[in-house]
Amino acid sequence: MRRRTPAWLRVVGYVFAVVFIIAGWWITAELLITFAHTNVLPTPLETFNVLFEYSSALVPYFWTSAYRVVVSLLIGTVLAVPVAHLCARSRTLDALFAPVLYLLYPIPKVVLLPILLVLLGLADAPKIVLISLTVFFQVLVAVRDAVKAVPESSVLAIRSLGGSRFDEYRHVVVPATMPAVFTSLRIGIGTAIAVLFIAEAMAGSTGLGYFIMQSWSMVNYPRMFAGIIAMALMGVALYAIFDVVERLLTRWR
Amino acid sequence: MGETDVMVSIQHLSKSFGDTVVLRDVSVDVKRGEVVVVLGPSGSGKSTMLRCINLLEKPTGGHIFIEGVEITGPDTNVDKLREHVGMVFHLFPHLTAKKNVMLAQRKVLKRSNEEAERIALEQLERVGLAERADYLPAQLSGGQQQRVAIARALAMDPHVMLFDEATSALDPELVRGVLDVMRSLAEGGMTMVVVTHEMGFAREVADRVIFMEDGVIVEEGTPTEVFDHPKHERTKDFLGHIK
Repeated sequence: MRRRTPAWLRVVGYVFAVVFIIAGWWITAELLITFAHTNVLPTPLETFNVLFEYSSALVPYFWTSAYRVVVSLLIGTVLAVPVAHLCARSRTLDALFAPVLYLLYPIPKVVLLPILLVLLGLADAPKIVLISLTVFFQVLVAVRDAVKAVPESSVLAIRSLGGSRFDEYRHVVVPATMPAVFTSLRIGIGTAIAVLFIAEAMAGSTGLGYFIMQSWSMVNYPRMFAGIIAMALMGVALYAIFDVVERLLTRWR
Repeated sequence: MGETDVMVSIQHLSKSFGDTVVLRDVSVDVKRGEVVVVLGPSGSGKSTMLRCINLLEKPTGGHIFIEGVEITGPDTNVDKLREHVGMVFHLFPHLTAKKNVMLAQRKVLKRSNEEAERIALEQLERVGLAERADYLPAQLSGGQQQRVAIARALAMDPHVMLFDEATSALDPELVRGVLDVMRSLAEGGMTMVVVTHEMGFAREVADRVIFMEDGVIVEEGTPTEVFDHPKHERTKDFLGHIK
């Protein structure tokens, strides 16, 4: 049985992390103010005020961005999981697709953005397609490998009990690959938000990416920083949500 | 002896994987209530033979009958067959002991939740693990996991039980608990085909011992015949190595 870190120790860990991050941030901000004579990085105290000041302006941008990321994560995952299962189970399909995957996987999907902008305009569509693509490949590769790693003995066990092909998937393969789905999603959130930022910064006039770059061009650094914090919080929130959902769905681990 | 007294009849069974011949013309009859222990070096084909009995491996040639019904025919209902042939395999890691024992009862035999749970607890009791019903496999020792796996197979009311090296991956001190369960099953009249390296168990519990090598049955007989008076050099060699 895995040893669990005691709850109090985890709380101490989080408190320490927050203190550590805020201290580092504060010191960096003060150093920049003192030596570089710039307020581009506000101190934590200023930031709190700034966030409060711009919160009503931020909200619509925040929801636009959150909507794009969540929908993209869903689309990418829903498309990737069945394909991953097919690839892992069929030697022919895998032989056909593995090289395609191998070549496409390392390409930074974000370079396709200009093409998507031409094809799909400036609104939600190109951003969602781009992030979905990014997520799709990450989940596909992780889940395919997880399906291949399902022990033969588990599959034989359900077959020996008279289980159907459906039972085999529903009760053995899917539970065994669930952790891989969530791990790839949690890792994917960082990439997804990065791609979102680039896409929003480059095109359109919606979303946090636009909010940040617009503030930058107006030389309104506190406003810019409010946007940055909002984007960071979105990443943390999504990560935490997936973490909780994963724990609920994979309690046996 | 009537036809129905033969539980499993393997006739001229052969099996190849590509060019590799694993079983050549193997014939064995297992009578109802009989405990047959299959010995042999790894790669001798004994596990493959076991897996052919519930069609986890498809025979290349020959016939297998279970309770007089041919299972190697073209229109065998494989799922129906497997309900009567219990085999011990690893547990599903994401389910508790009880849920492991309940799953196939619910999905395959379509038993109600209450009935499946009642039977699960009965079978766990039988293998001495009723108090571990709500533990996950990772929280059980290897020996306890195997005993739950036996309970899981028993819950399906099998007419014959197959054991494929059920104790081979276990620490020595855990082997005994599993063998005790198997012994009590044998005493209860269960028909069993057991692939094992546990010579003590074979000698004590088996009605008949079969020694296989290179995909053929080299020798078979009562434990006394095979262990104390082996006729073939290869059997003597093997038993010599084991001791």
